[in-house]
Amino acid sequence: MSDLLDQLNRYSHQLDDAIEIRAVDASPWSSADENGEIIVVDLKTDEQGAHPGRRYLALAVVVIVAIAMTGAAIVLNDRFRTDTSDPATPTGPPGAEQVIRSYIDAYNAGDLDAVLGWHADDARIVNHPEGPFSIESAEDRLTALAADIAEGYVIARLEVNGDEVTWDHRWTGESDQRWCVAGMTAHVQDGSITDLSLPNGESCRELESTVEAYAIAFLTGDVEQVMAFFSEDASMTGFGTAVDGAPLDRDGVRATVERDMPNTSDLEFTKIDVIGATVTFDHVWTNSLNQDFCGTGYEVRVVDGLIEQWDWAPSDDCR
Amino acid sequence: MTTPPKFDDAVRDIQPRLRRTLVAALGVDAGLEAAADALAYGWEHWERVGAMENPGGYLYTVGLRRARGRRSRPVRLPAPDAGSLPWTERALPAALESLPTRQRTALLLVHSFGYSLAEAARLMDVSKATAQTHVERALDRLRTEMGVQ
Repeated sequence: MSDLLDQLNRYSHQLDDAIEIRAVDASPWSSADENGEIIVVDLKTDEQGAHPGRRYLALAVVVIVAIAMTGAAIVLNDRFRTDTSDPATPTGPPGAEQVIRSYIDAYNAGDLDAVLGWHADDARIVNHPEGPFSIESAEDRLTALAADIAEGYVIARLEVNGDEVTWDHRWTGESDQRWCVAGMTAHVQDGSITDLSLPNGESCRELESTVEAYAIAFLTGDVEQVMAFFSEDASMTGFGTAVDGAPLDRDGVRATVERDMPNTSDLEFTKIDVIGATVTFDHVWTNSLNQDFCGTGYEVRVVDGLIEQWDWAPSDDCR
Repeated sequence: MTTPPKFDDAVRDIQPRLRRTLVAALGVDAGLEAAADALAYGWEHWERVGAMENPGGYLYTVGLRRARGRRSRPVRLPAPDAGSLPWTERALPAALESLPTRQRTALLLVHSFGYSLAEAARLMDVSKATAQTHVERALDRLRTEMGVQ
């Protein structure tokens, strides 16, 4: 077989042939002459020499496309505004949560105009590595960001406090790299975003790895190795921690680890998922009598590679 | 501030390259559809888009994003014509289809369509170094997958 670069060079003929054959009529700005050559339709003059009827047809297509796009934009805009309005005040602007959910829906739909439309004219993007900038100057950056997103935003823990909305999210970029961002914050006034804070995200895989590594460390029987996964102000809540339901501090976490570790013969975390800084998972814990206990819906908050909060859910005999 | 060129003047220059770039990224059918979408967007917003430093690169990102907003389709590149000369390896399209989008785009722009690295980078709206990295990784991967030099 010949050199790869030669092969790629030869393949250009097939690609260009396919483009020429299928591009005709694919765009309102192109047509083909009698020899099948692609020509660009000039909307104002006859300099291309194309058949006048074809030119009128192309012009008609342009007008129809423009009308359809304008109509679609109006419908979309109305739909966003209508669907998200507060039923109790049908004539007022949508609430803060509805604005953010519609904003994210617009992003996921790839409708950059709608994304920008949810911002106030003087909105600012703050907490950005390149410093604050206005929404007016943000369109190119947002377009570039949108082009990097292979899958849409998945959000969790959306909370509203007055005009402030906070949430966590995850997005997937090129090469299936997943990014997790915690603490997104936006302020909403009169149905528009007035400022948006974009904290740095981190690889979702790193967060998952922390939890996976914890399970491995737990099986070593080394308490110190396990405690190294917890931050100084770590807390633990939920099933099997404190009788009175109060969160355990780091010393309480250590006591729990020291209690459970000798009774553990196996520990496996499954269905690991992560959005923002929170890793959720199920687990199968096998005790020293080889009985399996299954639990679902555990939540661990990981910040800077350390576990800050661990919330246990009830587990039961797997049988 | 410079006055943007007229849309129908600019599209003569942008359209062929935009089509090639989006076909390299998305395959023939989806790429041509995305190019038409991007040009429609450019026409509607030409006053702003035309004033940009790199309108073609901007429309590429618009086309890419709009294609992703639709239901995803597998990348389909044309099969080599068995009867034509010079002969092209039949496994090449499938190997190209399996590459990540940006690697495939950069590779085809440079080594099939013959653009320079700088031109390819501009068409993809990325830096030259990024385009070069994509091309090198794509070549490494294709060589491994196809067992060629």
